[in-house]
Amino acid sequence: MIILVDDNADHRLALRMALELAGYRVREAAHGGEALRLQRERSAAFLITDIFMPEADGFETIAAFRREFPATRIIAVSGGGQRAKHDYLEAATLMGVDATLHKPFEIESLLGTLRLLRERAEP
Amino acid sequence: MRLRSHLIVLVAAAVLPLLLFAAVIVLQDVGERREIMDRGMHDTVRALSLAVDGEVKTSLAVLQTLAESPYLDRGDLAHFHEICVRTMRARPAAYVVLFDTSGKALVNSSQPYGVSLPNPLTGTRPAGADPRYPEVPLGGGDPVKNVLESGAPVVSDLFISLVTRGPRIGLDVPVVRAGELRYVLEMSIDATEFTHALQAQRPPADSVLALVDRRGIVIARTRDAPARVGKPVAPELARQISASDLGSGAGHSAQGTPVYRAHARSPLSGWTTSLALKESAALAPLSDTLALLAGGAAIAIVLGLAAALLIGRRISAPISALAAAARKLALGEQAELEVHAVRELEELHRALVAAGASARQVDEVQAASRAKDEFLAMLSHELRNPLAALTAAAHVLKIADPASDEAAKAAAVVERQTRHMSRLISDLLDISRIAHGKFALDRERFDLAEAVTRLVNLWRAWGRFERHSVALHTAAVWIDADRARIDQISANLFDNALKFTPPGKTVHVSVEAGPGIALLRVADEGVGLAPEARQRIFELFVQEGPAAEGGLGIGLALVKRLAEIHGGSAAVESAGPGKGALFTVQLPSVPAPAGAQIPDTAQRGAGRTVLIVEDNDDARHMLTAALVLDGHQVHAAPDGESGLALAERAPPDVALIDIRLPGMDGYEVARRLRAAYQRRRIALIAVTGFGQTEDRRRAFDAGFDAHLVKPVNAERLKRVMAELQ
Repeated sequence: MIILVDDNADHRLALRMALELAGYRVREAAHGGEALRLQRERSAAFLITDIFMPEADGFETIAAFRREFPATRIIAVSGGGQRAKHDYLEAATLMGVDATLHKPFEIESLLGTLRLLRERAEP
Repeated sequence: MRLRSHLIVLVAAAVLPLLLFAAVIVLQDVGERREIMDRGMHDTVRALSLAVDGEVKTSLAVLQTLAESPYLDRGDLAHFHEICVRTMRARPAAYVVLFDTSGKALVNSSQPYGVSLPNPLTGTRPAGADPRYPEVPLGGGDPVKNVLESGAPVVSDLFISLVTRGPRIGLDVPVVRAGELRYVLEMSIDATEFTHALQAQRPPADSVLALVDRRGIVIARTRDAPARVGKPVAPELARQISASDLGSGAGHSAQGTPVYRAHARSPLSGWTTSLALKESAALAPLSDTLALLAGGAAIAIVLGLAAALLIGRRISAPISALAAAARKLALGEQAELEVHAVRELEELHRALVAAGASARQVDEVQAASRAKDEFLAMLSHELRNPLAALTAAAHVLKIADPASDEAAKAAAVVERQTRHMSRLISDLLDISRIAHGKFALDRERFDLAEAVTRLVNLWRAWGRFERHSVALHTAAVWIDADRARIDQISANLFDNALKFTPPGKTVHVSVEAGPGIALLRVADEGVGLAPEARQRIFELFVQEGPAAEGGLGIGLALVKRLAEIHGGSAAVESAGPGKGALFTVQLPSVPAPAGAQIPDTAQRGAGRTVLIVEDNDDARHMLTAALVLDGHQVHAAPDGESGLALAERAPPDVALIDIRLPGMDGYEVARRLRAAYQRRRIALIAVTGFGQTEDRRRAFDAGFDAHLVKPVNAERLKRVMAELQ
């Protein structure tokens, strides 16, 4: 089970279909608050979250998940360019996310990352 | 070293040479004054000497007259005594004595005639005989003897009188008869008479006048006469006197007080008159001058220092203020500065203000550069987001069955995201073209109300207004403008309104005609604007509102620039944060062409009422958009039941029906529509994911007039609809 957080509905939709085609069950959230609500309803093993979102900032979402659900693996996704002054993904890494991806990313690399995290969780 | 200290040194540098100069002048003056004083003292002592000489001469004249007395011719001494007494009555301190050649005193005007009188030639004793006057002889034998020896008048030195036992001097003249010296006539004068004579000269205060005989014994003195008369003068004065007949010099009194002395010796008597002046008194005018000079110097220095302190403060206070101002400028704050009296400080002030201004310019440049950096970061984000969606959709299209729902949805994502990106890119290009002045308008005359309505319908069809309601009020107003650019203005205003309006709220769009103008208004119920943000909001790259809203900050800037190159303007009003915003674009209007309403109506008439029943949101929106663009009235429903309800309210000319629907399927919907509209011509078009011959046959059996396979191509749909008309 994966919770997918992104403010871009199309990205959410396309990503969800790609993940479902790969055999994952996916629940969508438009912002961090919704993701947290979904997670409290039913705990997911993975959180894929955009860092640059309205409402709750991605960092707040990550912090809330780390606090409440330390077992959930987090993949942070950012559209911020690497040349931007603050690299959000670097900050996210410092916050202890399990993996980071730059938009746009190949679906294969996302799937590969998920596989890796799963293998690490169940040796 | 502080500024004040520098100024004090400056004052000292100016005052000290002046003081030195003054001191030289004063010293020169002192010399001159000393000379003048010297001369004055010489004059005084000479005058005194002459006065004493006058006395002596007068007395000698008296004696000469008495010496000529006829009584002496006859030897009538009694009568001679009488004359002498009478003569000397006016001078009680002096008397006349007549001696014979043996020194015997025959007559003394101070004694009765006939008494026995001492003989000075035999009675005189050398100095020391009278213990009161150890340096003075007792008895006036010397002058008598001198006259007897010389036959000439003699002026004596001081002696102690054998008669009065007091210090006296004698003036002696010979009495000659028939060429023979018969007697010596003497006038004996009490020394006090000279003291009185000196005192009568009114000597200056703090001065002592003295008369000294040839041996250096004091005859008379204006001060301490009883103690000093008959005693030798101070050795210092004695040396001065013996050195010259007329002179002066500094020295000390017997008490040790510094004095200034002048003396003159009379050639007649050989006596010396001396004037001693206490140096303090002698030099009093000098010390006055010196005191004046010292006082003046002190005042000059004090005033100079005070001026230095005052001026120092006047200079240093503004300098301190400027320093404080400079520190503020360094922190990037605005610094208020006063106007200064010192021109150089004023210049420094101006230079600082200029420096502050350029520092602010640098700040502005940095702010602009920051805005650009942020813009690039946002641009990166805005381009990467659709690319991410496109990448994911491409992946789905590659993996999924082309006929599946997923494939259709992915295709819709690709279409939406590419449209979004191309709009973004064309906005960017337009901004760049406008900025470089390379922007050409492709003008035509059209109705703004019609253009806005068409765009609203298109956005509705695309589902862009799904989460909001849109209230549209239009009145026809014609403009001469570039249709694509006007659409761009509207689209950016809609975008902005949607971005800042919470779901469920209403966006109001209106088109109105004013005097010579066309007004497009878009009002939202969103986050609103602070008053100070109203000007800024139309600037390039500026973002207001919650930062997380995203966007590039070019949409509203483009709206304003596009309105302006059409000869119009853009403005925003807001009652404040949280109270929504009203954007107004004003464009010059043109008169409506004759019969303008007719083609409009005709065009609308040309459009048909179309019902779409499709459960896939994307497919439904896409079909709606395509049909609206062709000028049709479109009603869309996600399932059979609501589709039939819509058809009841607005009977369609054409119905596009998806076969695979939740609940009631497409065949059933077609059958019911056919049943409901038996007497009305209605064209039914089936839309399926399956293009098999079998499917086609089933559709026609159900009463469909045409069959389309997903994804529906807009051109193909247009052709089919034209065929069915």
